[in-house]
Amino acid sequence: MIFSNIPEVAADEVVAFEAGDHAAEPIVVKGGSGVIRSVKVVLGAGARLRLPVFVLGRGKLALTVDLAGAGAELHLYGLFIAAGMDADINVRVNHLASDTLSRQLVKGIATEAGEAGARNVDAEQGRGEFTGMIFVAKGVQRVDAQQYSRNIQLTPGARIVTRPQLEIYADDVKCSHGATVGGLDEEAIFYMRQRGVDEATARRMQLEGFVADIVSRCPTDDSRVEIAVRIDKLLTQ
Amino acid sequence: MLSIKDLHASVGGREAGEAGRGDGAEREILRGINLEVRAGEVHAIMGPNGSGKSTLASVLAGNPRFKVTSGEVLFEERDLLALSVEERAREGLFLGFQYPVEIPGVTMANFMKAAVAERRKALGLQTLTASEFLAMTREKAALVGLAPAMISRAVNEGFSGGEKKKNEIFQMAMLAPRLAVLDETDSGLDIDALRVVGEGVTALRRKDNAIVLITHYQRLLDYIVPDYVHVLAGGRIVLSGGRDLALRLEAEGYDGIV
Repeated sequence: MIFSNIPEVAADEVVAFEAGDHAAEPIVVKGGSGVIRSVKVVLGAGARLRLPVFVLGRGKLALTVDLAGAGAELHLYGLFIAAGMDADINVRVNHLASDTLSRQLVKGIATEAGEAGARNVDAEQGRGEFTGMIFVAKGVQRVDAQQYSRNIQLTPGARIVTRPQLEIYADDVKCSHGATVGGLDEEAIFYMRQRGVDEATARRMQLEGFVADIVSRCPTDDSRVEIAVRIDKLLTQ
Repeated sequence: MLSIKDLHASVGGREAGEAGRGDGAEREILRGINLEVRAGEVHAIMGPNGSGKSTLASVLAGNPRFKVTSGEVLFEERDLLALSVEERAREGLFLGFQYPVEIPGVTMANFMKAAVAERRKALGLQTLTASEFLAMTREKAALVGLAPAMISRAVNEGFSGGEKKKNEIFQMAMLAPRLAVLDETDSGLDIDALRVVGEGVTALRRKDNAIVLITHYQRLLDYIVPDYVHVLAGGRIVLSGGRDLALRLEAEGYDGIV
């Protein structure tokens, strides 16, 4: 299977990276049966990791990243799509060493699935959740951490919950975080329609644009295609 | 080509049950517009701020923010107001936006491919091959001095003010509209960009198309010479004339004329 770096099992998994640049294959929770996947990543001194993560369907990813050695860097790109089900990404980034850096961009889409009939059923609503914790241990120096959560709530009955959190026990820390929840940009829809693109296609193109900068972080064509197909299926249902 | 008869339009009204800001009171902005545009003509619509210039452009394009309360618009003998936004565009109505919209993640190439395909379908033409599309892109980008590489960038994202306006004219060139309504295409342009945009539009001028320029200032008309100039004030066209009217407006200001 494609996602071979991190075997897909429900139990705890631990993956370690040594010094150097690493572009990891994505961690994917494909869901369907409410699977919870718990992964721990440990970055040693000088390990710089680019990691895409996805929850595409009913399921949850609980990810912990330890920046355990000086100079470790995490560049995390996440996407969850809750289309008529719950989809959660829960990230904890532990800055355990000095001179460590973390960047997180996690995007979410929540939408009700199917036609009107399904909307009366609670479980069909579509509820996406991001919980992100940046933890900076006592005594570490020169930590630089950013975390951004960007979300689109596509239908009125869908829900997005986003909880960016900081827990900092050191002084020399540069930290920023932010979260937004909105709908599609109606001005952009009008603009595209004015060029002859029908409304459904315009909405679809905008959504694909929204997820593009996460999907593009997958390191191989195979993984990008597999993710894109999965997203397409979720947003089409 | 375009025939506007006693057009009234409002903004701010709210549909039943619709949530929104403000008090929901409707405000009439267009109060009886009459205008005839024939093929081959360039019309300039000038007027002070708040006179309804941009509203007229938006209403012609079908912007759902505005509600037409009465009047008639015929475009190529068809009832324009009965058509959807995208149908108007496919039939050859182009709106150059005063504030072109940024669409993160959607490349100019994908956007234009979709738009050009729809326009060609409406014209009964075959879809372009990838190499034909690329060649057309290069040619039209050169017309307005845009680097061909911008086709791989997201729509208007990170474009400078001048690039955004050039990009509007680039899209106009790609879509070859029958009628282009250019809403304050000159705003925010420096003199060099103004000349490039003006010459680009002039190059697109043909016997079988028409252009409506909406502008606050005379300077754009140095580069795109209009056949008619209209002054819009208080939601009505209060004065029409030739090129000299624009020069008079510049010399005397709107206060002296309106």
